[in-house]
Amino acid sequence: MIEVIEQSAKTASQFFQNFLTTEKTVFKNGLLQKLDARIKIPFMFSLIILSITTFDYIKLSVLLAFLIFLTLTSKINPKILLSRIWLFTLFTFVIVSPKIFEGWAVSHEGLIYALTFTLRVAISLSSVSLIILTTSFSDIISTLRFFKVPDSFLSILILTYRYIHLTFSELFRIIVARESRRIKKQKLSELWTSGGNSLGLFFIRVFERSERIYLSSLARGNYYRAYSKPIRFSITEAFFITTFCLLIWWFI
Amino acid sequence: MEVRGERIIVAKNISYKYPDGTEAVRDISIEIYEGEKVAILGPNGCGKSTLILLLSGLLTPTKGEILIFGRKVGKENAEFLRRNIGVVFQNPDDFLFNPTVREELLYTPAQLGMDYETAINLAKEFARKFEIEDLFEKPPFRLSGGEKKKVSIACSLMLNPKILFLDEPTANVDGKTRRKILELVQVSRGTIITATHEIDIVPKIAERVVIIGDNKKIIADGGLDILEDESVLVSAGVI
Ligand SMILES: Nc1ncnc2c1ncn2[C@@H]1O[C@H](COP(=O)(O)OP(=O)(O)OP(=O)(O)O)[C@@H](O)[C@H]1O
Ligand SMILES: [Mg+2]
Repeated sequence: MIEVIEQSAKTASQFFQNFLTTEKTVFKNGLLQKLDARIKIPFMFSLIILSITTFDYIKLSVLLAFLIFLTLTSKINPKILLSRIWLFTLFTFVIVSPKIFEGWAVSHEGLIYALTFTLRVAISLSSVSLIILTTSFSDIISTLRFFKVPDSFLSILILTYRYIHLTFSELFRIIVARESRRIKKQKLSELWTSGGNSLGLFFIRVFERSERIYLSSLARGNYYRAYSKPIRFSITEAFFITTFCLLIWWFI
Repeated sequence: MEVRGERIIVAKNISYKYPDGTEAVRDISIEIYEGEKVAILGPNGCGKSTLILLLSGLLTPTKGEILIFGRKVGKENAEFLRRNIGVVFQNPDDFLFNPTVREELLYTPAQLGMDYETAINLAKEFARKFEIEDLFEKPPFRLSGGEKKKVSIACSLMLNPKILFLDEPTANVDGKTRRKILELVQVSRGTIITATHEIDIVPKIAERVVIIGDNKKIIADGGLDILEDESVLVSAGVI
């Protein structure tokens, strides 16, 4: 039992660490990675807005197809994208599925509604995931800074990001350390107390480490300044701006 | 004794108690002069790391007073102090917090308002020196212990601060890196204060030795000749 719980906590902590560290996909030489983040982020958000302004499933399907095109040209394994969006998409579908039925019969309108609604969610999630998978955290921050998002908000974002990493790596270390020093199998009753102890230890450690990291950020300057790169303008940027105009023209 | 530069750190009877009541530093007085290379030696738990945090103005003593460059430690002088003082923590996990090694190296230059070209060239130069160029895009928490140490030392050394505190800089690193660190400390003209319990590196990084004993008191303070006095070293628990 304890093995199962610790094993899943270990996997979970690794999973979240991986979820946030996307350097495997961010540094690939793909289409979206080449695109300047200051164009990419507004572009992807405009796809979301376009998708919620229409109920035309053909338009929605084209958007989805375009996102799949982006995924492939950005050298991202579709499985990675799928693993990030399937849960919520399925959840949405389950929520709206009652609309499909009128009594015992399947209503054509209801079916279209349920599908378009699910499509919208899939499009929104894919767009956001593609941003995260192809943009480094620091580029996201400097883009937000470029669009004059207030520093106070950014600093909260940066701190959250730091502490999430910290939290999960700390959890991982505690589990591994316990594992390495446990010799005999534990009973369920022992799990209860030792698990509680571990949890308490975990919170204290995260708290104290965050204090020391705060000291370090004092030592190294904490004015939330960062470098901004000059805006690029190449064929990639031109392609996205043209696509953007075409989409707007088609949707309106 | 040779003529000393200006006194840049003056600590008078400082003590520090952690919130849990542990008194990590007890009634210590010390003066550091400009350009000095000082080694702080002492057994585990004698308060070296805490003393470094105090002398660098990151912690405020619970008793006593510290003047750094003649200024009090506090909010009004925070930016001035941070610009002139570099600290490398004993545990790199406490020190590194950026998403990638590249950003780690560029972090403080950005805070100081250094222009990007200068900063990236400096970062690359030091990455080459420490052989960490290949790690640029990796998140620091996925590095080996020694690699983390190299990154944190490079972060501070590249800025050549007026005062640099190194907490156990050579623990956990291989021979080659250790030589590199010692070499860079030797050529630096700034004030460098190193906490360590590795006696053999002391002559290479310091000309003044401060020994803290088990009782958390300074039991010796002077030139390298102190290292020849075996009884002092034994009572300090360093050999
Ligand atoms: N965050 C903390 N809370 C409470 N006590 C602490 C804390 N950090 C350190 N101490 C205690 O303060 C004393 C001095 O610790 P410090 O880390 O300064 O020693 P040190 O000389 O650097 O040791 P080492 O050679 O092992 O690095 C120790 O007794 C330690 O247990
Ligand atoms: Mg220490």
